[in-house]
Amino acid sequence: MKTIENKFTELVQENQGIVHKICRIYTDTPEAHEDLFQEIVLQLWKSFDSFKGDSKFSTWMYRVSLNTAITLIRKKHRTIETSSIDSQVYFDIKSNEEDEAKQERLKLLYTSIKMLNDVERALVLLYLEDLPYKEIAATLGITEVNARVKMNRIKDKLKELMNRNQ
Amino acid sequence: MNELNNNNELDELKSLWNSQSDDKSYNAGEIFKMIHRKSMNSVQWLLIISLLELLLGLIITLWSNFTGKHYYSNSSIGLMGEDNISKIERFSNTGFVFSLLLMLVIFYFYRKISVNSSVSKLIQNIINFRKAIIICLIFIVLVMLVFMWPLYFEIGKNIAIQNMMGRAEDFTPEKLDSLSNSVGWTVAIGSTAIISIFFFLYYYVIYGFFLRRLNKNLKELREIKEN
Repeated sequence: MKTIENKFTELVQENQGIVHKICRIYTDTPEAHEDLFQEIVLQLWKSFDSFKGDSKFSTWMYRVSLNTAITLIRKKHRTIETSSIDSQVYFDIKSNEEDEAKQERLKLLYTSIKMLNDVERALVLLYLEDLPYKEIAATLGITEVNARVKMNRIKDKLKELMNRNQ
Repeated sequence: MNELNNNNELDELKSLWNSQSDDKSYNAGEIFKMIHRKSMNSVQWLLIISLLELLLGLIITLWSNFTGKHYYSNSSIGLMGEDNISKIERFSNTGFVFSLLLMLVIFYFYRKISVNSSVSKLIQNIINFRKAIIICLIFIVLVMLVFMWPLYFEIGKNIAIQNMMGRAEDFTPEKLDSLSNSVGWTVAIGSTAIISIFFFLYYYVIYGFFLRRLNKNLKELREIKEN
């Protein structure tokens, strides 16, 4: 019989890609990435009892992880060095395919996302993760209409940033 | 047309986004450690504090032994008596052993808690750790009081006798005895009270802070276990 922590550990291990992507868009250094990852896992664990299993684990994970990252980024005296708007991409992002042009483009995408504000970054991430607007709205605590309007604005902004950073 | 172009670009971005591979990957053991980090931190801090205490004790003891100097000024030595001073210094050296004992207890539990174990085992380890630390601290303070009490009594007596020496004609041996005894008792009681307050405050503030934090983590862990 699986204990709660074993079940939790297994679920986090399976879905850790989500947390890594969140860490990448909110931090500047590998150390900060690791710190934020640990903090998110801790917060997930602390609120694990609130996960009723009605929704998918990943949906619940997006909400808790993004809330943790945004709360930390807004903290005045934060212990984890989160990224600022004009920060750089520190990591080696690897595309599954050995395509250098693709990797460069992915890097450009990250650099541009990191130039958005904290909530815009969350919206873009959920959009790129292909979540339906209903779920994006529920995760961020806004209405579906609001999520669509905001996303349309951010799409233009992101396109502009990508062109500028190219 | 522009809309279509935008949608194509976004689709391309989505596929690009989803083509990322996870370079970083934590195994189950590493994730398990992360969820118990807070308890580890408190125990780690207690270990560092006890280590600093030990180092300070060691530095003072080595300094005193190598330089042959006392911790006290010459006038204090005169009042307290050379014998009492050596007893106090010997006792301070024994205190160093107690600090070592405390550090070893903390280190033992630190090792136990840092090993991946189930929540129930972790809870049990934290309870045992708290109990062991509290027993150690009470033991150290009690031993100190029991050993120091007669010394302070003697010191009080010495001080009283030294003060009365110049006025020998004013005192009968009996009066001298009863007066010096009263001063001895007053100094012993006063010193005991001061030592108790000092250690209570020291351990309550420093160790208490981390033990309370550990207790909070313990409550959280219990809630998780019950759910």
